[in-house]
Amino acid sequence: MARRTPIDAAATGDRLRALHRAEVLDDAGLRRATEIACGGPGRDGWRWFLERALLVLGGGLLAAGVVFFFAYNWAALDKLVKLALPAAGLLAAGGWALGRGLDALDGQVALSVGCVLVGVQLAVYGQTYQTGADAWQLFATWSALVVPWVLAARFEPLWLAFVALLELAVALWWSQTVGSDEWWLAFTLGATDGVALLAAIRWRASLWLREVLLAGLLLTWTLPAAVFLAGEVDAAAGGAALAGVVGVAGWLLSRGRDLLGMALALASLVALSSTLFGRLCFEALELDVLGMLLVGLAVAGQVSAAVAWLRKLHREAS
Amino acid sequence: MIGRPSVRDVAVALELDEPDVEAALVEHARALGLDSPWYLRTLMGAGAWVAGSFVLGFLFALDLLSGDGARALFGLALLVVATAARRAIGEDRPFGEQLALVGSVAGQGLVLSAVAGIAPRDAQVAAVCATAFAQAAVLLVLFPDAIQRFGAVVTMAVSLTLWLVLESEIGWATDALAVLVGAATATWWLGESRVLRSRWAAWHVPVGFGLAVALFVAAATSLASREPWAASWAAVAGLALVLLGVVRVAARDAGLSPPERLAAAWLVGGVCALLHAAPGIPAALLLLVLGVERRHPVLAGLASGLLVFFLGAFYYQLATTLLWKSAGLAGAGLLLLLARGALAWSRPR
Repeated sequence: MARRTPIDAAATGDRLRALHRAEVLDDAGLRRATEIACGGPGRDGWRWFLERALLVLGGGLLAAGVVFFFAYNWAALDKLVKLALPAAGLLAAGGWALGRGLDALDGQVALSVGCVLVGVQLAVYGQTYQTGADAWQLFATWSALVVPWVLAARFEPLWLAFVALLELAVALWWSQTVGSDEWWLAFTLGATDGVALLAAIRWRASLWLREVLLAGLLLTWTLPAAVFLAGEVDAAAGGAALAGVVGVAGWLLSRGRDLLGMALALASLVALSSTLFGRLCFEALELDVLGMLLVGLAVAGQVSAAVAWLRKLHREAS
Repeated sequence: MIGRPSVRDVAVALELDEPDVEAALVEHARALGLDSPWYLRTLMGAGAWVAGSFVLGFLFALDLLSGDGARALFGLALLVVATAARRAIGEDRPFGEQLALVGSVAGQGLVLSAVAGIAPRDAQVAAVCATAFAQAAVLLVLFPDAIQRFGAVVTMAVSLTLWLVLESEIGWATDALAVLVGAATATWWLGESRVLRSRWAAWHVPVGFGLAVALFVAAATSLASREPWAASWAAVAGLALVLLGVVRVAARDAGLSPPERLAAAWLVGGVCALLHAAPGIPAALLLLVLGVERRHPVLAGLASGLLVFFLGAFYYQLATTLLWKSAGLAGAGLLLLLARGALAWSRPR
């Protein structure tokens, strides 16, 4: 992909005024430039927008009206009709995806809608027949049933939504059956993000998906690791999370290729080292009020050093 | 298709020398630190907030601020120092910029807490709202920072709204505020070209988005101040009139013929009438039309989010039955789909 140059960026007020300051534009030129930049999209632009917006908004409002109508009559509906409604939507979404193919965006979106409707179908079934299942069973079954569609669609937003659904099922299972050791839950959720990240790297997924999964992994592991360093969590879960953060950060920093990943890793490391330094100040040295000043200065120093290093790498690379 | 033209488009239209334009833009980006990726500036800013909070915590823990007078004096001093520091720092110092902002936020909080302590109980709300409004108005002018300016506009709207809801005896005051903020938002965004050529150019984006959020606050409050989320016909009608005014400007700029302008006005009026019970729809549609007319995808995206929010809030509105809601939604949906059909039919072949 060709590198985007500053001249291809949007003509914002900032940039136009910069051209004026540099005397590339005179007063009359600035006036004309702002008129061009701030002008409306014109007849063709409005037509392009309205052809899509009217379809999406009109279809959405009509669909909402139909949903509200069934909600109004829900209690009076027969059980079979209740079950048939999401099933019909499911069939329509599946049919659309088959017809358009999974290489087309609307086919992928249709299959994603189908995945959502699987959950709606399960919820309606549970409500109609009062199965007595726990909430985690609904989400776990939902996750299991949509796996083939998620794999077939190769649609990154659906992959991310599936990971979130799976983690919700795990979290609900943990709270409804295990009920304790929440820091191990945090570690497990981070590990789930890690497995999803490895799969995303293997499938050469987009950078945004990998960075979102990496951020989720580091956040869910940094929290128990920091609490462990503060002396508030058991050694096994906190130690595992700490080892995980240090390992991932070390891998990212030693590769030195992904600047955003390195920034995330350094943010995690700053949080952990500041927690340790805070414990030293407040517990070992009993500095109390002065400790707050020292921790503040330590955070400022570490962040400044980390950003200065990353900016240097960025300038060398560009 | 609705995005802004690029600088290259402008340069070509004005027959500018592209290497000169490129050099000026590179220098501009370097001067503002925009040559660093956004996440490095974010990391620096977040670090400043954490470090600043600890340093302020140290100052507060010194036990010097136990009295209202001391808090007011220290808060004012903090505001003066933070404002002077921000003016001296200039650009490309994300850490210093954010640190000054931390000082400003802490100073405002201290002054407000002192005013709440000093004011008599029956005048407490009015005193705090008036002080918050005045502080924000002064900082809007004196504190040259986009985040502060955005926050100042939102603070002014929130303090005025809170005062109207909690203290004012005027029942229609929140409706009038929603319509006034709607008109101010429309005027500000439609006058973008003029603002960008003036000395207020740096205010345009923060104040514009501050007004958009203020419109959301005012519209939601105008509805939520009535139980249970019942739409006020006055607010809906006023905002619909502002929306029709914006549609008229957009239709004129797009070169629509008089019958086409009339059709656009009937469509917007029809949707607002059918969804008159749906809270905030005209406010969200107003921002959407402004976002497209100004070719600002972020504003259009914000408007889409608000549209979804207000449609969701419609579900919880208990003044109308689900059957009537269903009829309004389906009717508006059909009207829009008919308009889409007419648009497709009129497409030049």
